[in-house]
This record gives sequence, structure tokens and C-alpha cells, in this order.
Amino acid sequence: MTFRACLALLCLLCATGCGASTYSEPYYAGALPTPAEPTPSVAGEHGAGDDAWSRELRADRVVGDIARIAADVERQVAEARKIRDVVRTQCQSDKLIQLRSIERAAREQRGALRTAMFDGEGDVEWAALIDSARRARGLQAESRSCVGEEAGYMGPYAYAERKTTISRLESNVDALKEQTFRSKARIELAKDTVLAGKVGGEGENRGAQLVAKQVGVDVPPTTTPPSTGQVHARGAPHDPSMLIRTADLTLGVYEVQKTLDAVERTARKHGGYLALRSDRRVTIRVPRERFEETLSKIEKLGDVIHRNVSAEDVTDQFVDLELRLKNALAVRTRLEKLLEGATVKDAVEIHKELAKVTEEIERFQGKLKLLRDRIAYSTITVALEPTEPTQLRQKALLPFPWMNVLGLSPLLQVNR
Amino acid sequence: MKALVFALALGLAACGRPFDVKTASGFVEVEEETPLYDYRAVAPDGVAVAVRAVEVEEGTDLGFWERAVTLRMRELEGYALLEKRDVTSANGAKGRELVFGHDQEGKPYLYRMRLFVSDEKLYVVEAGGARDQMQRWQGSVDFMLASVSVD
Repeated sequence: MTFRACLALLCLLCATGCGASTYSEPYYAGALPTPAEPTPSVAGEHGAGDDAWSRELRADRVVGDIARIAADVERQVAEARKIRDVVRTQCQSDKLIQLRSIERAAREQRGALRTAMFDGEGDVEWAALIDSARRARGLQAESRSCVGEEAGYMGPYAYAERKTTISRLESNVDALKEQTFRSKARIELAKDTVLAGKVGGEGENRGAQLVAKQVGVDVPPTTTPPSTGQVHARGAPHDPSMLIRTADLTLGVYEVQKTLDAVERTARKHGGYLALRSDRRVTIRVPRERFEETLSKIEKLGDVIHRNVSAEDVTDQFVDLELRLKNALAVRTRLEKLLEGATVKDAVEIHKELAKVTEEIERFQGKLKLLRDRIAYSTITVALEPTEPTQLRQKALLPFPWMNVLGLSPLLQVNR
Repeated sequence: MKALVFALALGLAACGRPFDVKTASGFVEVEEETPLYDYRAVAPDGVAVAVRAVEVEEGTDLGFWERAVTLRMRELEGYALLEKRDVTSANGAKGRELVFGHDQEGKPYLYRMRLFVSDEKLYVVEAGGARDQMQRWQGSVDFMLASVSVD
């Protein structure tokens, strides 16, 4: 070992004890200070005053800088994850992986430099180390520009404030949407009332005129007063196409399976289908135009104990859903247009809104489809079972004990 | 001897009844410790015929009891009313017969009921069994139902 190498080793041992005090730099939120030494362009060129001892110190500092850069980017990744910024997280994670690799390489280069310095060499290793530091700084800058944030990560207070603002804006948008929808529904209803209804009398017509003026429809004033007994039709004639018809029949519990089979056959014969069947109950669906005919056929199959037929008018629901769907489709088109020129950050927000609107559209379409199906096919349920005791409590049961001993069960019991 | 005692017992029982009924061939009258019926006869394959007289309030008529029984059997028990017709007892009293159908354990059963009203008594005549058996024993059942005389 040469004298210079021994001296370098001795100095190194001293530096290990006092060198730590030179690494007391606090953490910087901004870019870390560039190492002061010039970047060597030619291996072997040390520069003035660049002795082995100094180079030792600087090498340690370089490795430390690289480690701090990696830690800084790791913190940025954690912040991005916290605010669920997927794009930024991915970008910065990529930089972090590269930085960790550079850090490992830098430590190896540091070791190689130390070894080379014992032999009076080290220019190549030093150059490699400086190059690693340069690459690390480059990655740090790239990491900060992942989402255009040049001033570091968003602090917790700024994040909470931004989140609150977004929530408030979202609820405002929802309220405006609802208001728009209601106004449009009122206009449509007013149009139907004015256009399709027969109005008579000046008083009524004045009201109609006012409504017509509001919606932009012309209704000529009437001059003849109504005759006595004239029927004033205030709205459109009732539309039978928007009725959901259902019937519930309870038949006597006799020849149950045979009756259930017959009900099923009747349904098929009239263009319908079986919807549900259990031991004593069957539900069928038939085209609405065959409803009455099917019902009268089924009533002949047994003793009808209860009969309940209803028709539910779903015009309002239908119009309501159609309008909501129309509005949602318009909002979606608008959002898609906005997406074209949006920045990355705005695009993420627009996508979120688009997802919500698309979900709404699918929900409305599903409900409309269900309504159309219920209108097109009427439902008939036939049950062959005794009435539930809870229903019977509403009727007055006669207080004659002997009536409790009616029927087949007591009659056919031999041994008591 | 035993048969004589049994016949005497039956005879005595019949003396206490406010009605008369004949037991058809193939049926046997049964005695029970706590009878629900004043008369009951059964065939080996489960067809049964029974008669009882119950005290009722004055002023109730046949129409009332027909409606009460029909409501009870249909609404509560789920029996299907298959048929109803006017009938006459063996001694000329006017009555009403109701024929119900009801499934028991997945099999169709028939249940026939005749009602007669006189003074303060209601006479309830019942016959029932699996539909196939009832059809097989129809002759005997008709005979027994038609043989009922009420006071």
C-alpha cells in the first residue's frame, strides 16, 4: 500500500466521525441544492483542490442526495395515493422505481470508488457516480411535473378545501338538473292540457290563454258561452295504452293440479306464458288485448271465491321517465363534447360525471323497459288455497260452535 | 248375546234422536264416547255419512243457514261449491243440498251437506269421502241421505 493510500485511509477514518456534521441539511420541499463540485467530463481530471479526501466526502454526499431525492419522490407517491389521483400515482411510482435502482447503483459506485482510490484511481467511478446524481435530479423534476404540480405536493388543508368545493359544485349541479327537469315537465303538462283539452267559457279560456302564452302555444279565444249541461273535458281523453292490468282470483281448493294445468294451457292458448307456479298458485301473463277473454275462461275452471281486478294508470310515470332520460342523454352529449378539449385533470372529473350520468341513463332505460313490458302483458294470478286467518278476522264469524265441526276432517275421523 | 245388547243399545240411542235415518248395506253405524254427531255410519274404504240436530235461534231460516254454511266452507276452508239444489226429506220437509269439492293430501274429495230447518232445530246431514269412493258408493249414500226424516 502506498503512502498516499495510507494517508487517505487515515483521513477517511477521521471523516467518518466528523463528516456527519456536514450532512445536517434540513428537508427541502423544493428542489434540493445541486452539489457544488463540477461535473467531471474526462475521467482522471480531478480539478484544483480535488484530492482524495475531498472526493470521499463528496461521494458520500452525492449518495446521500440521491437517497433524499428518492425519499422525496416516495412522499409524493404517498400523497398522490391519498387523494386517489391515479394518473399521478402511476407516473410518480414509475420515477420512484427508477430512483431506487439509481440509489442502489450509486452505493455500488461509491464502494467501487473507494476501492479504486486505494490504487490512486477512481476517475471512472467518480464520473459514474456524478452521472447517477444527474439522472436522479432529472427524475425528481419529472416526478414533479407528473400532474403539472411544480411546487410539490398538496397540503392536507388545501386538499380538504378543494374536496369541499367539488362536493358543493356537484350538489349545485344536481339541484339545477332537478329544477330544469321539473320546469320541462310542467311545460309539457301545460302543453298537453292546453292543446288536447276542450275548454269552454271565458273564465276557463282566459286561464288557458295565460298558460298558452307561457308555453308559446296559440289558443284562439272562444266567444260562445257553453250550453247548459255541456261536459267540459279538462284534459286529454284517458289513454288506455298506459294501463297496467292485473287480476287476482281465489278458487276453491278442488282438483288443484288439474286446475293449475288448465290455467297454464289457457295462458298459452291466448298468446301468453307462465310466469310463476307453486303448489297452489299460478301466475300467468297474457297480451293485454286478450286479458278479458282469458279471465272469463279461467273463471269457468272452478268456484271463484274471490276476484280482484285492477288497472293502474302509469302515464305519469312513463312521461316522467322519458323526460328524465331525455335530459340525461343531453347531459351526456354535453359532457362528451367537453371531454374533447379538456386537460388531464379535468378529464378525470368529466369521466366521473359521465359515469354517473351513464348509470342514470341505464337505470331510466331499465325502468322504461319494465313499464312497457308490464303494460304490454297483463298479469293474472290464480290461487287455490284457503283464505288467510288474518283476513278472516275482519269478517264476523258466527258464534255457533257446531259450525267448527263441519267439513271432511271431523267426518272422516274414525278413532278419537 | 253381545249382538243383541249392541242392537238394543243402538235402538235406545235411536229413540233419543229427533230424526230417523236408515243405514245402507255396506255401511256400519259407529258409536263413540264423545260423539260430535248424533248418528254416524262409515264404509270400509272411508266414506262416511253423519247426521246431527242442533238447537238454533228462533227466526232463522234455511236461506240464512245456507249462506252461513257456504260462507264458512268456501271462505274459511277453501271448499269449492260445485252444486246446490233443493231437496226433500223422507217425511216431506223442504231442505237444501250443497255439494262441495276439496282436495285432501293432493286427492279430490267430495263433501255433501243437506240442511233442514224445523221449529228450533237445524238438521245437518253430511256425507263425504274421496271422489272415487263417493262415486262408487253413490247409490248407498243417496239412499241414506234420502232416508232422513226430521221431526
